[in-house]
Amino acid sequence: MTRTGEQTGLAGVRSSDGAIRENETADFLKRIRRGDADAFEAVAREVSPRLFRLAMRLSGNREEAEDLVQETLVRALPALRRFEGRSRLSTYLVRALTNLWKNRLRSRARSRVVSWFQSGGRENEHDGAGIDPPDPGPSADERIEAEGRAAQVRLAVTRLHPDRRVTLLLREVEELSYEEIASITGVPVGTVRSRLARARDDLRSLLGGKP
Amino acid sequence: VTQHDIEEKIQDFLDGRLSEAERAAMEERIAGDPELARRVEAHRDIGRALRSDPAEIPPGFYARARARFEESSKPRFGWHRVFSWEAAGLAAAGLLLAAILVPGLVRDRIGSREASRSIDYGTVASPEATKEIKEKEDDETEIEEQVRLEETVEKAVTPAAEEPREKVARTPKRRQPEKRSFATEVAGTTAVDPDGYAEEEKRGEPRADAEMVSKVAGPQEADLPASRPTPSAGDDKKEDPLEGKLLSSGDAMLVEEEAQRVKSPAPLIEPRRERLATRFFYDGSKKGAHGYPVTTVPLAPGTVPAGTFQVIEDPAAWRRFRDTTPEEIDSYSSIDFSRERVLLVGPGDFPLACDKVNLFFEVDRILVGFAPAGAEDLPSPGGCAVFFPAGPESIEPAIGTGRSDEQ
Repeated sequence: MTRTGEQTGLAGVRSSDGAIRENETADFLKRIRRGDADAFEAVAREVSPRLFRLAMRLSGNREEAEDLVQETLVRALPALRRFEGRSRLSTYLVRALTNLWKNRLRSRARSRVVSWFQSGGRENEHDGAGIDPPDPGPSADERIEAEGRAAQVRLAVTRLHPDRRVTLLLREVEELSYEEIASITGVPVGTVRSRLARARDDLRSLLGGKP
Repeated sequence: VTQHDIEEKIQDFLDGRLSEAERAAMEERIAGDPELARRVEAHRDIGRALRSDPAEIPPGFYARARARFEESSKPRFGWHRVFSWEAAGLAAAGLLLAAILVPGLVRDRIGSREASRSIDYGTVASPEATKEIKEKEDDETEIEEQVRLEETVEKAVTPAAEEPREKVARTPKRRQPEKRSFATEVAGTTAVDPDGYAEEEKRGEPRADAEMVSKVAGPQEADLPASRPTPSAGDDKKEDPLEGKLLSSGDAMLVEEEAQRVKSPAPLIEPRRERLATRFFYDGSKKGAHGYPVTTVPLAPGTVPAGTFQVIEDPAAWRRFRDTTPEEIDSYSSIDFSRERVLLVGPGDFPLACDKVNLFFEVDRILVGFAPAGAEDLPSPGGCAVFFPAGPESIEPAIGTGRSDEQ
């Protein structure tokens, strides 16, 4: 159940249009480790569309998605010491991106709650003292777009619990198997299954019971 | 067939996890059940909606990514500029050579020292010298046997009370710790100080074995508090044999667990439980999804010892905390308690059920999930406390449906 026709990532089947061939990838990664920006850009062009789509669905915000993908590429590609095939590289980058996103989410929430405690819990709803401003969420343009059915679904996904959101997107957008999702998220296959069920259930509730 | 079973079936069907036969049966069922067909289509619609927008890469993305990469791969320190693979190769070769040569040199040096020793023994031990040494050793053995015989005779004629003193007189001045017995020493049967410990105590030097002595001797009557009641057979409070304090039934259970642990090898989690044991009532039967012990205890207002726990008493703060539902991305709260032992829930108006706590253990944190409930369901108007082991993990309270993601 894997779509390959429209994929442009490293797991895809592009080689006649100047894209990196399978047997060249290891060499490109070596060059990236040596700081070769041309090699970096070439690999980035291969993998970014897929990563960007996932990042957009996770964060619901274009600027954050771009930052997330760029940081993933800059940190994860030079750190990869061994090339074990494009599909493994793809999995590696998706895992790096989701971990990075969750870490950001945690540190953002932690700083907010810590400041809340430091203020002794005395701040009120209006003064905002000690509390970071809420996440801006989707932009105004995206809210207008939300009139469309697909946009509504995408917006609802950004409101899911982070673990469930990642699991649902890896399944529905990336079309990965339960085993692949388990490998990326580091949980048992059974947990992947239950998270998917919860995510779909929550999504149905968020969409007013009629997804 | 419950609603849950149907949902699971739909999910397996959509995710291609049914066998051929099951899939065919499901398709047949969908064809004959419009409601089921609508639900399956609704799920498919979600997938299609998520995949529909290709999320085009923004203009200038690759140029910005490239600049970021170039910035990150710039050498940050001066030594990077002089670094070369040739120099690194030479340094590695030098290290390798040193690693081979240095142990050899050390081994040669030790070997020559040992060889010189063996030469000494070999050359000195001429046949005449060996005979002389043997005769000397035999003489010494004979003298020792004679002394032993004399001691036996003296024991027979000397009164028992004087025996230690006589023995001390004949014993060399050096210590003989192997002859000491803690039990007899504490019981006062050792009248003398053959090892010089009493002298050390007089000089104010601590005795290393003092703690062990007290354990062997047990609690002395004079050490017990005067007001302490004598435990009766029907009383569920027991004595802590190590600290001599009264324990609650929960603590008594822990003492028993402690005894059990001494008998059997301790699992990894045990040290943490031990740390809890001296402070909290602890219900070992209640555990989270990953075996972490959890205890919920209803609290009346003002019953929490100051400085021990993190307390949020302000209702406005609690309301904010309560409102942080997983439905909001920025509400995914994470709290690092300084002590990380207890989580207090509510000053009274907090509509969460304290007895419905889910605990998940993830890579670097413990996730505590509370089930929502009506205020009337709270076990105590003061809220409740959730106890779990102290540890390096952060605690992340998530207020949601209270359902576990784990199976």
